[in-house]
Amino acid sequence: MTLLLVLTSLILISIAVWQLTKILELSKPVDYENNEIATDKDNDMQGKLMFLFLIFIYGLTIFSFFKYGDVILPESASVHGENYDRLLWFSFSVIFFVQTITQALLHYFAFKYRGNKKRKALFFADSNFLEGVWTIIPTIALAGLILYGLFTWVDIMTIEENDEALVVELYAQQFNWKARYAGEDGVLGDANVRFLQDFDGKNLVGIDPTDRNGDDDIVVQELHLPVNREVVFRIRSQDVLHSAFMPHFRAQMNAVPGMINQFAFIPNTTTQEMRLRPEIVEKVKKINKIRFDKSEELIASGDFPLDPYEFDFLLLCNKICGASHYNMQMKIIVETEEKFNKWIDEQQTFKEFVQ
Amino acid sequence: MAQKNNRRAKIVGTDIEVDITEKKDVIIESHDEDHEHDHHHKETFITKYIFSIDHKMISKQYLITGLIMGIVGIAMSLLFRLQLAWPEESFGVFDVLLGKWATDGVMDPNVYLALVTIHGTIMVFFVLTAGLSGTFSNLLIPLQIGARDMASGFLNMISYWLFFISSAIMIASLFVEAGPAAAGWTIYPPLSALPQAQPGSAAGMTLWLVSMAFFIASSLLAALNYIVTVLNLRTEGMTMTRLPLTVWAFLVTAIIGVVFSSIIICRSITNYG
Amino acid sequence: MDRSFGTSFFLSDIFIQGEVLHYQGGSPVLFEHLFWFLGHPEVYIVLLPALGIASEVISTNARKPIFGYRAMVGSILAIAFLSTIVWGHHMFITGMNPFLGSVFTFTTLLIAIPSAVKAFNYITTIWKGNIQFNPGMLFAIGLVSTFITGGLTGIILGDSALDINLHDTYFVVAHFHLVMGISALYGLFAGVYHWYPRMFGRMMNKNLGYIHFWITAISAYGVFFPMHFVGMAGLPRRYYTNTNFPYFDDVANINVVITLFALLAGAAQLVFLYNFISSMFYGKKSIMNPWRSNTLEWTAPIKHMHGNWPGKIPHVFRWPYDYSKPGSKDDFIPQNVPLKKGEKELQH
Repeated sequence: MTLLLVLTSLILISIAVWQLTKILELSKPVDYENNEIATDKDNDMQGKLMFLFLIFIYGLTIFSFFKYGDVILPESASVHGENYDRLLWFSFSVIFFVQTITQALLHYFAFKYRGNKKRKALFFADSNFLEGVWTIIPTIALAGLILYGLFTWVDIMTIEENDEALVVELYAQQFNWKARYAGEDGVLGDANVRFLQDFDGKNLVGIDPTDRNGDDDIVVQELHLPVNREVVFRIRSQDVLHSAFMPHFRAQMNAVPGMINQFAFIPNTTTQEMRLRPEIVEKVKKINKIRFDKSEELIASGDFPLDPYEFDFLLLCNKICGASHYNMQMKIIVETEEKFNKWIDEQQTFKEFVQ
Repeated sequence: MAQKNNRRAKIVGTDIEVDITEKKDVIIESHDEDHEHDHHHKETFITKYIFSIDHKMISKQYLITGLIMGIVGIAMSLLFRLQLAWPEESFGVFDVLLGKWATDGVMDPNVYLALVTIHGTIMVFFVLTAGLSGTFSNLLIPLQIGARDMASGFLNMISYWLFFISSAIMIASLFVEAGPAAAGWTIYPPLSALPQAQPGSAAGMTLWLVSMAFFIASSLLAALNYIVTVLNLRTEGMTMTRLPLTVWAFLVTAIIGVVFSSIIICRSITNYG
Repeated sequence: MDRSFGTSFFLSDIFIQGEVLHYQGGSPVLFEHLFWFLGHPEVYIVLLPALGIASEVISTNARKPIFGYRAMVGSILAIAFLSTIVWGHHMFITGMNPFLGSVFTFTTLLIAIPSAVKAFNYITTIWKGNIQFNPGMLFAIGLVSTFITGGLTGIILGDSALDINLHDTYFVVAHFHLVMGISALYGLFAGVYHWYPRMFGRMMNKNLGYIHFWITAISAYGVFFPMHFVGMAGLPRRYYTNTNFPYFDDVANINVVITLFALLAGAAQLVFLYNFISSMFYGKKSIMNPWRSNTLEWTAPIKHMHGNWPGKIPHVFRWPYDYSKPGSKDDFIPQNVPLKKGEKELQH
């Protein structure tokens, strides 16, 4: 019934708009000149609007930076993240420069050369010099960006041999994350989904029970990392593609079933330190204000208020994986070496867990 | 030599006068006199508007179909934008348009993914490839190079109707019980391959694939037509370097299309056949 | 075959819904390679016709030859060729060998060069022109504008190192919508407004065209510009809602702004649809060559006929861009007009 009413109203509204437009057309004085081709007056008006549009583009850019600039990720919390951020801002400056100039030229010319009967266009069809200019200059600029980018990429993706590194497996499934530490022996046990059904489902990540290295592995649902120590992630998936995205550390790597992907970084800021950073303090204040306002509405309608927010590093899923793709996260806590060791000693190993 | 009176005539549609005294100055020369039979060809409503082999009519058919699919695609984008701006709020329009996928007017997460998937598929393939390339290549290639029609009007008609069937199947996939394909327009497996991973990966995904198979067949035939027409049917004096840039763009696009259509068929068969 | 016949091209080691599936040895990454090997050229299949249309509409309406014909053709060919070797830039963080990442960064940033050449050529075509702002021209200029903006953010994404933190965030969504959803779509609109007289023998209403353009242009930037910030905040795409992450609560109001602009953009398309449909029946009847264009399609009769031209097909004597040629009374000379005595064809 509702559908019928909605459709009828839509049809009636369309008919009304159609008739109104017809009335507007008919009520205008008959315009023998109007053959729907742009006149000098039109050109003048549209040319001016083009220039105003340039102001709009610039205005929108500046406004967005002011109003939305604070949602951008804060300074990174990892060592390579600093290189990343530097490359990002360098690239942005280059493209902003190009954007500003080209949009200005385009819209200014559109305005300046708006047509009229008296004007004659310049028959200028070719210039090898100009073509050379705007082939060579972009090539040089891009070559610079390519080289800088490649150095950064190789730097981030090269994982050197490091006995000191902490090896952690990130295990993705529909729809949560688990982390597995290598334990005392520093070696992760072999694992495969075929072992998931062993031990009445207690083998949470499918560790191969015949591999002795797996005995002391520790499976948790909250990732703790010691600060200033390299962590090498081995990323696995149980079912479909997922992606381990840790934006504050500038880290991302797909979790592919049938493959074990690697990514490494060195966190250099603890959760405590991060919480004290001014931009994070600002952000948390802003978020809590939003949550407080929302809670008032909720309480008014008889619902429970929202918990206040405290900053935490996050691991998010970043590859479409099904219905709850939007709700697949794991908290990451970066802490001092002592706190980390204390925490990990309290966890159960695989052998203990499946007894 | 006897003096000839200079005869002049205006080029149709312009104010340009040319001297047509000498036969060699007469501009209209063609090698295909045998195409005069056209006005003896009797047309029914069906052959004129529905199964036309005339490239201009086919281009209009592509445009109208592309615009209709565009309306569907844009409507979907507005639906999921409503959800993103006011998450988990109840909207009457969700109730009306999404039916069982929006209990109490709140959008279901599965249908959100289905909407973004189908929105992407429709806009990239049906609106921008067929509606843009299909319409204008068909309209402009013969007219701008000076040809009577495409190299094969029949194949052209087939390619449009394959496109139409593809659109119909894609729309039909929206009404499947478990929902349409919902693994993103990129349909990565395993999510898209396993019905256990997501309801939309069952019949909805199969129909998506069938629709794309028809679409690729349509693109392939159309692209072959464009390439052959541009290379072979240019009028006298129309060298490659006198081609308008539109024709160059359509030609190169068609070449890319022909080369890469085969890949998508191969990939679709290995994953889904 | 993976789905129906149980082969393992793309699947391996999967446990789902409580059971281990039998697939062994396949790789989803193989699928990604196959998909993007077509997928990337596909987006250039979408873009190149739009650029071709822009060339035609801009030169006709600026009453100037398109600048750098050979460079334009060369860049179309270069873009087409390069588009076949950049597909991996969609896959930097799939776990493929990082060396491949370097290769694809290199080729992807290369493709920016012919694109830049085209953009600068369009701008030079407008310079010192006599611009007729028909609705098609507005969209063609809008196409160049959004192509530049979108293309530049593509340079950021094409850099593999930067892609690490931007992949699958709203930054990517903003980028491809600007180049595909706006730029290529403007190409479609420009084409429709420009060739409507050729398709339907009538003119579209230009005032409605102006309204359609300006509302669309403002809302298009309004939707996708703020979206870059949402992406740089780290928000992943294809998320049904962000309320599960208090961290993203401050992005919520940007989403509202984006949606409002999107609704406005949607409404503006209704103006276009109305114009399109009503002009078919009530539009002013068109003359043969309303835009005073040089190309051959405007020499065919308004009423469509099989075979396009009555009698013989026009014979071509010159390139299509003799606009405002010195020595000519009119500011355009159609392709089928023979060269005057002493007139030389431009070496282009």
